[in-house]
Amino acid sequence: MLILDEDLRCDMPTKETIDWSTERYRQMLIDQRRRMWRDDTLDCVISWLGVRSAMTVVDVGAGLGYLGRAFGPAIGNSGNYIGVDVSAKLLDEARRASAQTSMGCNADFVCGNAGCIPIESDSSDIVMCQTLLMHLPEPEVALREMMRIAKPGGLLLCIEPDNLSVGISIGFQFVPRMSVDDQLGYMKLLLLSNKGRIKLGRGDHSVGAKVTLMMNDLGLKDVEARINDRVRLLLPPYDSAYQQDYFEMTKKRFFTDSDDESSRKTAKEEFIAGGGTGSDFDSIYEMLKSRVKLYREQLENRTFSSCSGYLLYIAKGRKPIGELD
Amino acid sequence: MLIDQRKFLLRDDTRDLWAKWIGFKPRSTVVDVGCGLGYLGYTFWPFFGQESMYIGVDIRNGLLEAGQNLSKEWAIGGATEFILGDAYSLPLPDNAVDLAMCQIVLIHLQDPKLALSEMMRVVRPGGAVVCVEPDNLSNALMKVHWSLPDLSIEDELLNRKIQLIAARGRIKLGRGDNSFGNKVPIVMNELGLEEIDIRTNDRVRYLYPPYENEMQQNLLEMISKYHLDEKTYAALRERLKEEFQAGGGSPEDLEKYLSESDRLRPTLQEQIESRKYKTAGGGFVYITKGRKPS
Repeated sequence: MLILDEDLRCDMPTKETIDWSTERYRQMLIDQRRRMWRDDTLDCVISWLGVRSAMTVVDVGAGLGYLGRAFGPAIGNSGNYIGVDVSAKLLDEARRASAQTSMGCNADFVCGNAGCIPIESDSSDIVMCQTLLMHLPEPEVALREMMRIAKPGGLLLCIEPDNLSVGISIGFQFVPRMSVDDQLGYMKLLLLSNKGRIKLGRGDHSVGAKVTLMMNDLGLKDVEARINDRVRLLLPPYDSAYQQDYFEMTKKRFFTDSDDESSRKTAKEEFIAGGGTGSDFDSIYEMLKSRVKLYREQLENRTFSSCSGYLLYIAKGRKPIGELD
Repeated sequence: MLIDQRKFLLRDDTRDLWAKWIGFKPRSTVVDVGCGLGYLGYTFWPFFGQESMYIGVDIRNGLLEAGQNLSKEWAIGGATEFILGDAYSLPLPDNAVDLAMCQIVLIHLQDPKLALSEMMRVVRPGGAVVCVEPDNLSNALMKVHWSLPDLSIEDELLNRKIQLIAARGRIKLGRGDNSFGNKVPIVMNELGLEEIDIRTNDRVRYLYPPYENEMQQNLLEMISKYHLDEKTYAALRERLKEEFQAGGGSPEDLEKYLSESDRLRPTLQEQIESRKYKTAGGGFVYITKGRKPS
């Protein structure tokens, strides 16, 4: 079996500061992944990767096994999906769900850290992760581990966003347009918070584009990337299934999440760690709160329109076969 | 330039995906507004060309003959026509075509909504309007020069301020809204088009030494031209100045920005010339479709 015994596992874990098994984050795993991909995009990406039946696929930071469900049918009943995650609680839930409704392939779930994946070297056809590297203080450590367990000639696949891009695109879209000063305030918040987050060891939320460069630095071959082409669109009367769902998510975001005191505290802490001042943060936050008030009104009378791009990078690279590759 | 910039605009598998999503059909009439040399025609001809008619409309008279001549090579099994015309008053009757499309046209127009309503007019009920348009303002705010040292937060914000104000100036000068790409669905909705849907071009461009494939060499050429050619640099600088001033920006900010970009330029040039330059990133280029009510 590919999975290593407990005593063979290394003791150099990477530190993740979020506990994804707590209810709030667990719900995020579900909400954000629903309708994350268009069906035709997923088919296109699967054929771009060359996913075939009977492959062994390892998903690092698997959470509830979302990627297994996406790729399961392509590897089929003779294929193996192994979901690795630090949270035994999430894996239990994933295991139970996979027993209830088939994932289309064999599925295994194993507890382990991205810095020391409990799987044999050179054993997997595809090693993948989604929104994992962005939360790690040293994404290269996880990438190196992923490379270790891939077969020579096997593939690494990393699906990671550039969240600064979301902020950039969203900032312009809600009507009426923000003033230049307000836009700059919002960008300052995004840039400094990201800087602070990196300093505090909480990962780089704009790691997306960088992954292709890291893959090249590590010596992976045929590195290539594309973007998930999903655009977040809301147009009254919100009549497609996607828009109805996204409308509900947006309402939740602006009516519940934006009042969350602990997120405000975290954001402030990160802003200050990034070099900003507390009073600067407070005034930007007040400005954003008045925008939120406006969005709430528009959402309530169903006049809210928005269309935002989101750069979610899908990067792949091949592990070399020997020194001469 | 029209040909170079478009060569690696779209991945082949993405082109196939788009064609299916748009729903091209043989035996149809397609109009391409602001057609240039007919890029959209030759890109999508395999999906609709059989016994079809492609009509390219452009206001630049000089491109029409070249486009018509080039089309002899790609328009097999159907017919093409390249005609002189204005996006605000297309030289076509109402309900004349099955599909109206444009690419990188609306962002250059003073009144993109009028052009969209013209496209809608010439499409038959049940036909589609398809627009490929970028959000170049957001694109200008993204990090590109990965091999250069990180900018200070002040410089990062100054760069953004310049771009934001210049974009407003551009609109004032009647040169178009360069971030119109993701406003297309909102305007289509206002015009009464139905089943509106949007996706992005998923192309990611990158340069990593030794720049192995053809796409990287093409990109390197474009970047070299942009950063090494004095005339291009001076022209871009001049345009930015004009637009920033029209947007109401302060001379001090502009001066600071320009001297900073002059200061970084030799390092950037040195990296490009010694083949150490690295870049990676996708951008916001949207494709939007809407159906004219039956």
